[in-house]
Amino acid sequence: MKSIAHLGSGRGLILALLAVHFTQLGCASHSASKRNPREGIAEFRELTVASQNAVHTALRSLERVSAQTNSCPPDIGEEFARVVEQLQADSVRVRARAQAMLARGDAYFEEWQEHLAQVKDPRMRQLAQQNRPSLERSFGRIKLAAQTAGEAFRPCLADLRRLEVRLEADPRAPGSAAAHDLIQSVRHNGQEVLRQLQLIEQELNAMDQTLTPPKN
Amino acid sequence: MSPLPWPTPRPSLIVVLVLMLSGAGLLREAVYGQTNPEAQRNALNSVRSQVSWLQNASRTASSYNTGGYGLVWQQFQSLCAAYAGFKSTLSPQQRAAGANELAELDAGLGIIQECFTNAQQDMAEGRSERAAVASMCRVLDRAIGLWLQEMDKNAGRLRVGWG
Repeated sequence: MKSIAHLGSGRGLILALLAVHFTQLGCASHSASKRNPREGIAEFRELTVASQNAVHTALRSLERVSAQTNSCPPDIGEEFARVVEQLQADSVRVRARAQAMLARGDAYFEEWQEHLAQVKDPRMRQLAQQNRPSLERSFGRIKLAAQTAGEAFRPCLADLRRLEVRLEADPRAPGSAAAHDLIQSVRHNGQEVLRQLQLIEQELNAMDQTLTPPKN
Repeated sequence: MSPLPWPTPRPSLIVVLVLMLSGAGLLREAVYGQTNPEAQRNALNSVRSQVSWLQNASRTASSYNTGGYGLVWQQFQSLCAAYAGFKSTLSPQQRAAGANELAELDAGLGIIQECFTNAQQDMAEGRSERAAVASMCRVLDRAIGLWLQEMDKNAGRLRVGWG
């Protein structure tokens, strides 16, 4: 009986098998491109600024509702409901980033740092290496601010939604004592969220500056 | 001096080699799922389709007498399953390079899921089911669209489906 090795040279067959195997392995691990760290900073800053704007818009709408001494006109109530829903949806991205940073902790920074070590610009790589302690401190402050912002945002959004539901059921609700407490709580927590988002923005600016090579 | 002769393999040796190599491939697939580009493209398209179904369900839910809460919930669960399937097609290298982004997408779905809890809470506090679900659907529709934008951005960065 002819063996299959006789169909070609034995060496060739083994090499071909090994080549196929390693090609398969190669296909399975396509070289994934990593997010440019400075682009990542810019993107996070955009998210932070957009979130500040969304909170400002919600607080402004809240003030319009709060200013109603009698029954809240339908257009103001509807606008308030729309703004609250928008805040809920648009905040998902920044909240998700904050949660991921907190959940992954140091691993989040390490991955980011790893991306920095692989950027094409040698000057940026050097800056990242030289300033690693300062970048790590900034990351720590961002993480803390993100946590504090999250802690203030949850009750802020919950109270905004409660107010939205009460207003929907009764346009005279803003005048009630219960609504007054809700409004006060939203103001307090909303300002705290804004403070923490500003802190994050400042740290991101500092990180970006650290990684910007000086102009010749 | 003549080189050492290359040993001529026996058929049994070749069979063993083939089994070992295909076994390694099977093991890899068992651990990391299907990581070939086509499987990744299919899985990514499945996520996109599920997002589209969820958005359709969110936009039509108000036409149901009950508000369509169950239907929207079901579509959301299907999306979560499609996303889990997508993640299982990523190679170890893609998972490592995109660990932060994947953690963000995971967290995003978790946050979006809170919409359902919020709607239930609203109903418990006396809001009509129709109004609670309608509000939930508007938030879901917008939020899931933003989530998909992130998903697509990250899939591009991770070269998902690249041959």
